[in-house]
Amino acid sequence: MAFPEFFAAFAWIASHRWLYPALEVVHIVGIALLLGSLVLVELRLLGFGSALPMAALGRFGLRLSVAGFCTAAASGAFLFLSQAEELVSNRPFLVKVGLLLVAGANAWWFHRRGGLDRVDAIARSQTLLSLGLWLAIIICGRWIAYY
Amino acid sequence: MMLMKRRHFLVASAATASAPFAWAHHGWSSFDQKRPIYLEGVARKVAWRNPHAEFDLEVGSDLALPADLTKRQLPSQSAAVDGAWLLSNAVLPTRKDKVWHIELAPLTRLEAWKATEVRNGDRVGILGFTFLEEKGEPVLRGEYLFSGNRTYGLRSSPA
Repeated sequence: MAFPEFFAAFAWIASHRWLYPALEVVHIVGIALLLGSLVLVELRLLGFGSALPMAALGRFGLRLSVAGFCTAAASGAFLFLSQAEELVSNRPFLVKVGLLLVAGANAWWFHRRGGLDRVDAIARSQTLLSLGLWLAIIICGRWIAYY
Repeated sequence: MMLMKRRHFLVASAATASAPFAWAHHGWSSFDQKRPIYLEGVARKVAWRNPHAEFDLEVGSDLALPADLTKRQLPSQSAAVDGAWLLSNAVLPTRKDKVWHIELAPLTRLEAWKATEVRNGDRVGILGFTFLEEKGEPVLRGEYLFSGNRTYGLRSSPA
């Protein structure tokens, strides 16, 4: 199957009366779950809220973050497929995808070098980078509609 | 004199406050809502979909304001839109693009108006807004759609 036909097979998503707004709702819930829990863990890593136990908070919080990411990614995939041809030429969308890859690589590196058990200067820098990346991803996502 | 000034201020404040209504997809704020533009032509590449229906409008070189425009009856809707003011202040665009991109409303709102789907080749009129000083792409955000002897409000659902 050629690419235009593959994408055309998903165009009905946008033609459906409430499916598109419903996907937008799921996408926002996913973002809220991901960022809400991630910001809590990351602030703890940076030294705030030190009364909270790092290991327990980190494990529970990051599990929620992964659940939020999966929710946002799944809904986002369908939102993308509903108008893929426009989006592949939308610069904020392409920047957003690039930033998602960087955020993923940053998270992978953080956990590979010890994760929550090795909170040193590099880990804190990665945490700050992560916060900035996710904020930029949200800005790019919202900017798609204005480009 | 003081009274005059105060009244002007109140009118201006009310106009400013009612301007930035929310849109399901992106805001109205980048569009010049003090300069309603009328376009008429043939719809092409109609995409009747979310987050808003849209199409290309082929505008003829003989584009003119319809003689009856200011007398047209506009349906009432839930948002406070001053339809009479829009009709009496409507102008033609100064730029001479042959094709304009028209943005309508989300599908749920069009369904609330029981709008008949615009088809490729349909002749429609549209009153709406473009960017400040007609900068950028020829994009018109529809405020009212005149299609098949009916008029639809696009900013909100019917009252």
